[in-house]
Amino acid sequence: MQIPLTSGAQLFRLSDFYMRQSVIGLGEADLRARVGKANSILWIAGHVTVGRRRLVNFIGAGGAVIWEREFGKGSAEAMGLTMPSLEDVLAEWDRASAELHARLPLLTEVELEAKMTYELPESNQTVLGWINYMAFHEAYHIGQISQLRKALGQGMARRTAERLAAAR
Amino acid sequence: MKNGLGTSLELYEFSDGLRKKAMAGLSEEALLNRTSPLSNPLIWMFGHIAVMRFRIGNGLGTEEKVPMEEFFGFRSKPEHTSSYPSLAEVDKFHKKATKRLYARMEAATGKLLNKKSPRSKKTIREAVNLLAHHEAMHLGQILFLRKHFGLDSKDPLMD
Repeated sequence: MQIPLTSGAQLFRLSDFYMRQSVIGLGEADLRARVGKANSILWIAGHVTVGRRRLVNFIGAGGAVIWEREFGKGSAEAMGLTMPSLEDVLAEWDRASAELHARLPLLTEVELEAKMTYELPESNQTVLGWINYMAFHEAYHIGQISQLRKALGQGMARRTAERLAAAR
Repeated sequence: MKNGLGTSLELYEFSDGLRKKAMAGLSEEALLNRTSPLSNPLIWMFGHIAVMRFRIGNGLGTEEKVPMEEFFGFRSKPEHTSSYPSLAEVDKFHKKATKRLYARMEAATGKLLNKKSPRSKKTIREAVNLLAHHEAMHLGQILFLRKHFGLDSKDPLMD
């Protein structure tokens, strides 16, 4: 793997772990609950998954991004939106993760330095900059899920969550 | 950076930009507000980010006592909040911790970065990089709380 990619790859692996931990033990009502104007936990999990899928497709897998309409950037959660189940979201997350970790080592220096055609906030406009932005973006939203859990009275001590995730 | 920490630095700088936005217009009341007894107030998260930057900086050079750790370190609980430092003091400390960390990152050798971190199973290089993930998670929480308390109408990474 190109050296500048190892940092992002490490962050993706950490998000692989925290994603499952962040939603463990939540029922349907909590997953879909809205706290104030915030998006639901299920919506955020879907949004992060769509972001990862888009990245994977861009760096080599190709194909359509599923649930773009439901969870894509700028598509804030609408009332009455029909969303896939958490199980389906996590299954897609796992597929995209496996492809991401397989494809990152194949990227060349030239591919990483290629210019991106659209802007992302505070990111340098290269493929590498976009990959790093997405690594940060995932952690940012997974942090929001943990805060939402607390707001719903479902916060979990970190060590308890780690133990439960490891037992799965 | 020739030592391979360039991407970590880029992530920290991204975090710095978001943090600056997250600090705007916060009242004392908002800084101490919490969504539940389990959650930390905003001031704790800002302080925690600064404490961790200083702590990671310790791993890259001479170890020094971590300021404000009793308030904002790992496992510190949001008790006695009336004695917390102000946001201005936390910000001043964050700037000091950041300047120190960035200088130490620039100077770090490959040999030092490949050593085991004294407090984890990771190498120092990995620990430096993982702090960016940690900051991103807390910034996500901070921006969530800002929106929740009515301080923002938009999420900077969403809208």
